[in-house]
Amino acid sequence: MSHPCCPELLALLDALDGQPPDAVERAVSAHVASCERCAGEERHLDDLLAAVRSSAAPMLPTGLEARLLARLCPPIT
Amino acid sequence: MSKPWDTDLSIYADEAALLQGLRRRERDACLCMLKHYGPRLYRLALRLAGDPDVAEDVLQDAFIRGCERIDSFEGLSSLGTWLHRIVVTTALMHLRAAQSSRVARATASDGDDGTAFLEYQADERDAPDRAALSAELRAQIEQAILALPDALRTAFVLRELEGMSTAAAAAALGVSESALKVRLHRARAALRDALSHTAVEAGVFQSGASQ
Repeated sequence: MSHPCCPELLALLDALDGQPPDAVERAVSAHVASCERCAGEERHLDDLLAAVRSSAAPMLPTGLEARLLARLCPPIT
Repeated sequence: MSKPWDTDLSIYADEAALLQGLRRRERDACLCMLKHYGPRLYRLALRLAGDPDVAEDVLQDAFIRGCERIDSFEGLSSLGTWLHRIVVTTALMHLRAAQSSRVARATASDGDDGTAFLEYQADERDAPDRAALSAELRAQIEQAILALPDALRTAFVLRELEGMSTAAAAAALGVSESALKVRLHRARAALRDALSHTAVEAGVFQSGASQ
Protein backbone atom coordinates (compact mmCIF):
# COMPACT_ATOMS: atom_id res chain seq x y z
CA MET A 1 0.00 0.00 0.00
CA SER A 2 1.49 3.30 -1.00
CA HIS A 3 -0.08 6.74 -0.69
CA PRO A 4 2.44 9.57 -0.77
CA CYS A 5 1.42 12.89 0.71
CA CYS A 6 -1.43 14.77 -0.98
CA PRO A 7 0.16 16.67 -3.91
CA GLU A 8 -2.36 19.50 -3.52
CA LEU A 9 -1.21 20.08 0.04
CA LEU A 10 2.46 20.03 -0.96
CA ALA A 11 1.74 22.48 -3.79
CA LEU A 12 -0.17 24.73 -1.40
CA LEU A 13 2.67 24.73 1.13
CA ASP A 14 5.15 25.57 -1.65
CA ALA A 15 2.96 28.34 -3.04
CA LEU A 16 2.50 29.93 0.40
CA ASP A 17 6.18 29.74 1.38
CA GLY A 18 7.24 33.10 2.77
CA GLN A 19 3.69 34.37 3.28
CA PRO A 20 2.55 35.59 6.73
CA PRO A 21 2.03 32.62 9.09
CA ASP A 22 -1.58 33.57 9.85
CA ALA A 23 -2.56 33.36 6.18
CA VAL A 24 -0.63 30.12 5.62
CA GLU A 25 -2.16 28.51 8.68
CA ARG A 26 -5.71 29.42 7.63
CA ALA A 27 -5.25 28.21 4.06
CA VAL A 28 -3.56 24.93 5.00
CA SER A 29 -6.01 24.15 7.79
CA ALA A 30 -8.90 24.78 5.40
CA HIS A 31 -7.42 22.44 2.82
CA VAL A 32 -6.71 19.65 5.32
CA ALA A 33 -10.22 19.93 6.76
CA SER A 34 -11.89 19.60 3.36
CA CYS A 35 -9.58 17.11 1.62
CA GLU A 36 -10.55 13.45 1.81
CA ARG A 37 -7.06 12.29 0.93
CA CYS A 38 -5.51 14.46 3.64
CA ALA A 39 -8.02 13.16 6.18
CA GLY A 40 -6.95 9.58 5.51
CA GLU A 41 -3.27 10.38 5.60
CA GLU A 42 -3.64 12.38 8.80
CA ARG A 43 -5.43 9.45 10.44
CA HIS A 44 -2.69 7.08 9.32
CA LEU A 45 -0.01 9.38 10.73
CA ASP A 46 -1.95 9.83 13.97
CA ASP A 47 -2.18 6.04 14.36
CA LEU A 48 1.58 5.71 13.93
CA LEU A 49 2.31 8.58 16.30
CA ALA A 50 -0.06 7.29 18.97
CA ALA A 51 1.89 4.06 19.09
CA VAL A 52 5.20 5.90 19.21
CA ARG A 53 3.96 8.16 22.03
CA SER A 54 2.96 5.21 24.18
CA SER A 55 6.12 3.19 23.62
CA ALA A 56 8.77 2.93 26.30
CA ALA A 57 12.01 4.81 25.78
CA PRO A 58 14.83 2.64 24.46
CA MET A 59 17.79 1.83 26.65
CA LEU A 60 20.61 4.36 26.83
CA PRO A 61 23.41 3.85 24.31
CA THR A 62 26.19 1.62 25.61
CA GLY A 63 28.48 3.42 28.03
CA LEU A 64 26.45 6.63 28.23
CA GLU A 65 25.22 6.02 31.77
CA ALA A 66 28.80 5.45 32.98
CA ARG A 67 30.03 8.59 31.17
CA LEU A 68 27.25 10.67 32.67
CA LEU A 69 27.88 9.30 36.13
CA ALA A 70 31.60 10.04 35.82
CA ARG A 71 30.78 13.67 34.97
CA LEU A 72 28.17 14.07 37.69
CA CYS A 73 30.13 12.29 40.42
CA PRO A 74 33.83 12.23 39.55
CA PRO A 75 35.68 9.46 41.38
CA ILE A 76 37.60 10.73 44.40
CA THR A 77 41.33 10.41 43.77
CA MET B 1 34.82 -4.03 44.03
CA SER B 2 31.16 -3.37 43.51
CA LYS B 3 29.90 -2.37 40.10
CA PRO B 4 27.46 0.51 39.68
CA TRP B 5 24.66 -1.85 38.73
CA ASP B 6 25.17 -3.83 41.92
CA THR B 7 24.06 -0.82 43.93
CA ASP B 8 20.87 -1.29 45.91
CA LEU B 9 18.68 1.47 44.56
CA SER B 10 15.64 0.57 46.64
CA ILE B 11 16.66 3.14 49.23
CA TYR B 12 15.52 5.76 46.72
CA ALA B 13 12.15 4.18 46.17
CA ASP B 14 10.34 7.49 46.27
CA GLU B 15 11.09 10.93 44.93
CA ALA B 16 11.59 12.54 48.35
CA ALA B 17 14.32 10.04 49.22
CA LEU B 18 15.96 10.50 45.85
CA LEU B 19 15.88 14.28 46.25
CA GLN B 20 17.50 14.03 49.66
CA GLY B 21 20.22 11.85 48.21
CA LEU B 22 20.84 14.21 45.30
CA ARG B 23 21.06 17.15 47.69
CA ARG B 24 23.63 15.25 49.73
CA ARG B 25 25.53 14.66 46.45
CA GLU B 26 25.33 10.89 46.91
CA ARG B 27 26.72 8.91 44.01
CA ASP B 28 24.03 6.25 44.30
CA ALA B 29 21.36 8.95 44.07
CA CYS B 30 22.92 10.22 40.85
CA LEU B 31 22.99 6.68 39.49
CA CYS B 32 19.36 6.17 40.46
CA MET B 33 18.41 9.43 38.73
CA LEU B 34 20.23 8.34 35.56
CA LYS B 35 18.61 4.92 35.56
CA HIS B 36 15.13 6.25 36.25
CA TYR B 37 15.04 9.35 34.03
CA GLY B 38 17.96 8.78 31.64
CA PRO B 39 16.31 6.75 28.86
CA ARG B 40 13.24 8.99 28.51
CA LEU B 41 15.30 12.18 28.67
CA TYR B 42 17.86 10.83 26.20
CA ARG B 43 15.08 10.09 23.73
CA LEU B 44 13.77 13.63 24.21
CA ALA B 45 17.26 15.10 23.75
CA LEU B 46 17.85 13.02 20.62
CA ARG B 47 14.51 13.93 19.10
CA LEU B 48 15.14 17.62 19.71
CA ALA B 49 18.82 17.67 18.77
CA GLY B 50 18.53 15.28 15.84
CA ASP B 51 22.02 13.90 16.42
CA PRO B 52 23.25 11.28 18.91
CA ASP B 53 26.48 13.11 19.77
CA VAL B 54 24.67 16.38 20.39
CA ALA B 55 21.99 14.54 22.36
CA GLU B 56 24.66 13.13 24.67
CA ASP B 57 26.09 16.62 25.21
CA VAL B 58 22.60 17.94 25.88
CA LEU B 59 21.84 15.22 28.39
CA GLN B 60 25.15 15.70 30.16
CA ASP B 61 24.71 19.49 30.38
CA ALA B 62 21.12 19.09 31.52
CA PHE B 63 21.94 16.63 34.30
CA ILE B 64 24.86 18.77 35.46
CA ARG B 65 22.61 21.84 35.49
CA GLY B 66 19.93 19.90 37.33
CA CYS B 67 22.35 18.67 39.99
CA GLU B 68 23.79 22.16 40.42
CA ARG B 69 20.31 23.58 40.96
CA ILE B 70 18.84 20.72 42.93
CA ASP B 71 18.91 22.74 46.15
CA SER B 72 16.62 25.33 44.56
CA PHE B 73 14.13 22.73 43.28
CA GLU B 74 10.94 23.63 45.13
CA GLY B 75 8.87 20.61 44.25
CA LEU B 76 6.19 22.60 42.44
CA SER B 77 6.31 19.92 39.76
CA SER B 78 7.67 16.38 39.85
CA LEU B 79 11.42 15.92 39.59
CA GLY B 80 10.88 14.27 36.22
CA THR B 81 8.92 17.24 34.86
CA TRP B 82 11.58 19.61 36.17
CA LEU B 83 14.38 17.64 34.51
CA HIS B 84 12.31 17.42 31.32
CA ARG B 85 12.12 21.22 31.18
CA ILE B 86 15.86 21.52 31.71
CA VAL B 87 16.52 19.10 28.83
CA VAL B 88 14.18 21.05 26.51
CA THR B 89 15.86 24.35 27.39
CA THR B 90 19.34 22.88 27.05
CA ALA B 91 18.58 21.21 23.71
CA LEU B 92 17.16 24.42 22.24
CA MET B 93 20.21 26.33 23.48
CA HIS B 94 22.48 23.83 21.73
CA LEU B 95 20.49 24.13 18.51
CA ARG B 96 20.58 27.93 18.60
CA ALA B 97 24.31 27.91 19.26
CA ALA B 98 24.87 25.49 16.39
CA GLN B 99 22.72 27.62 14.11
CA SER B 100 24.66 30.76 15.03
CA SER B 101 27.88 28.93 14.41
CA ARG B 102 26.67 27.79 11.00
CA VAL B 103 25.62 31.32 10.08
CA ALA B 104 28.97 32.63 11.24
CA ARG B 105 30.73 30.14 9.02
CA ALA B 106 28.37 31.10 6.20
CA THR B 107 27.69 27.49 5.39
CA ALA B 108 24.64 26.51 3.42
CA SER B 109 23.96 23.39 5.47
CA ASP B 110 20.81 23.29 7.59
CA GLY B 111 22.36 20.63 9.81
CA ASP B 112 19.91 18.00 8.75
CA ASP B 113 21.98 15.05 7.64
CA GLY B 114 19.34 12.51 8.61
CA THR B 115 21.92 10.05 9.85
CA ALA B 116 20.97 9.97 13.51
CA PHE B 117 19.30 6.75 14.50
CA LEU B 118 17.66 5.31 17.54
CA GLU B 119 18.17 1.61 17.91
CA TYR B 120 15.21 0.00 19.56
CA GLN B 121 15.77 -3.12 21.52
CA ALA B 122 13.29 -5.54 22.96
CA ASP B 123 12.20 -3.97 26.21
CA GLU B 124 10.23 -5.74 28.89
CA ARG B 125 8.70 -2.42 29.91
CA ASP B 126 6.70 -2.43 26.68
CA ALA B 127 3.15 -3.58 27.31
CA PRO B 128 1.95 -6.22 24.84
CA ASP B 129 -0.33 -3.78 22.99
CA ARG B 130 2.52 -1.38 22.59
CA ALA B 131 4.75 -4.10 21.25
CA ALA B 132 2.36 -4.30 18.26
CA LEU B 133 4.42 -1.55 16.68
CA SER B 134 7.45 -3.42 15.48
CA ALA B 135 10.89 -2.27 16.49
CA GLU B 136 11.68 -1.83 12.81
CA LEU B 137 8.74 0.47 12.21
CA ARG B 138 9.40 2.46 15.39
CA ALA B 139 12.94 3.02 14.16
CA GLN B 140 11.59 4.16 10.78
CA ILE B 141 9.26 6.66 12.41
CA GLU B 142 11.99 7.99 14.71
CA GLN B 143 14.32 8.24 11.71
CA ALA B 144 11.72 10.20 9.77
CA ILE B 145 11.31 12.58 12.72
CA LEU B 146 15.07 13.03 13.09
CA ALA B 147 15.35 13.76 9.36
CA LEU B 148 13.07 16.79 9.63
CA PRO B 149 14.81 20.20 9.48
CA ASP B 150 15.59 21.60 12.95
CA ALA B 151 12.77 24.17 12.97
CA LEU B 152 10.11 21.61 12.00
CA ARG B 153 11.46 18.84 14.21
CA THR B 154 11.60 20.90 17.40
CA ALA B 155 8.07 22.22 16.87
CA PHE B 156 6.78 18.73 16.14
CA VAL B 157 8.51 17.06 19.08
CA LEU B 158 7.42 19.64 21.64
CA ARG B 159 3.81 19.87 20.47
CA GLU B 160 3.00 16.43 19.09
CA LEU B 161 5.19 14.06 21.07
CA GLU B 162 5.77 15.88 24.35
CA GLY B 163 2.24 17.23 24.56
CA MET B 164 3.13 20.86 25.20
CA SER B 165 0.37 23.35 24.45
CA THR B 166 0.63 25.39 21.27
CA ALA B 167 1.28 28.51 23.34
CA ALA B 168 3.99 26.85 25.47
CA ALA B 169 5.75 25.28 22.49
CA ALA B 170 5.63 28.58 20.57
CA ALA B 171 7.06 30.41 23.58
CA ALA B 172 9.84 27.85 24.00
CA LEU B 173 10.82 28.29 20.37
CA GLY B 174 10.36 32.06 20.33
CA VAL B 175 7.82 32.09 17.49
CA SER B 176 4.17 33.07 17.15
CA GLU B 177 1.47 30.46 17.57
CA SER B 178 0.58 30.78 13.89
CA ALA B 179 4.19 30.20 12.91
CA LEU B 180 4.28 27.13 15.15
CA LYS B 181 1.12 25.76 13.54
CA VAL B 182 2.60 26.26 10.08
CA ARG B 183 5.71 24.37 11.15
CA LEU B 184 3.49 21.55 12.40
CA HIS B 185 1.64 21.41 9.07
CA ARG B 186 4.95 21.23 7.22
CA ALA B 187 6.34 18.61 9.61
CA ARG B 188 3.24 16.45 9.30
CA ALA B 189 3.26 16.72 5.51
CA ALA B 190 6.91 15.65 5.44
CA LEU B 191 6.19 12.73 7.77
CA ARG B 192 3.15 11.67 5.76
CA ASP B 193 5.39 11.57 2.72
CA ALA B 194 8.25 9.77 4.44
CA LEU B 195 6.00 7.17 6.07
CA SER B 196 3.63 6.62 3.19
CA HIS B 197 4.91 3.08 2.64
CA THR B 198 3.76 1.93 6.07
CA ALA B 199 0.46 0.18 6.52
CA VAL B 200 -1.88 -0.18 9.43
CA GLU B 201 -3.81 -3.41 9.38
CA ALA B 202 -6.18 -4.70 12.01
CA GLY B 203 -4.48 -2.69 14.69
CA VAL B 204 -1.09 -4.17 13.96
CA PHE B 205 1.49 -1.89 12.48
CA GLN B 206 3.66 -3.34 9.79
CA SER B 207 6.26 -2.00 7.44
CA GLY B 208 5.08 -2.04 3.84
CA ALA B 209 8.69 -2.11 2.72
CA SER B 210 9.19 -5.51 4.27
CA GLN B 211 5.98 -7.13 3.04
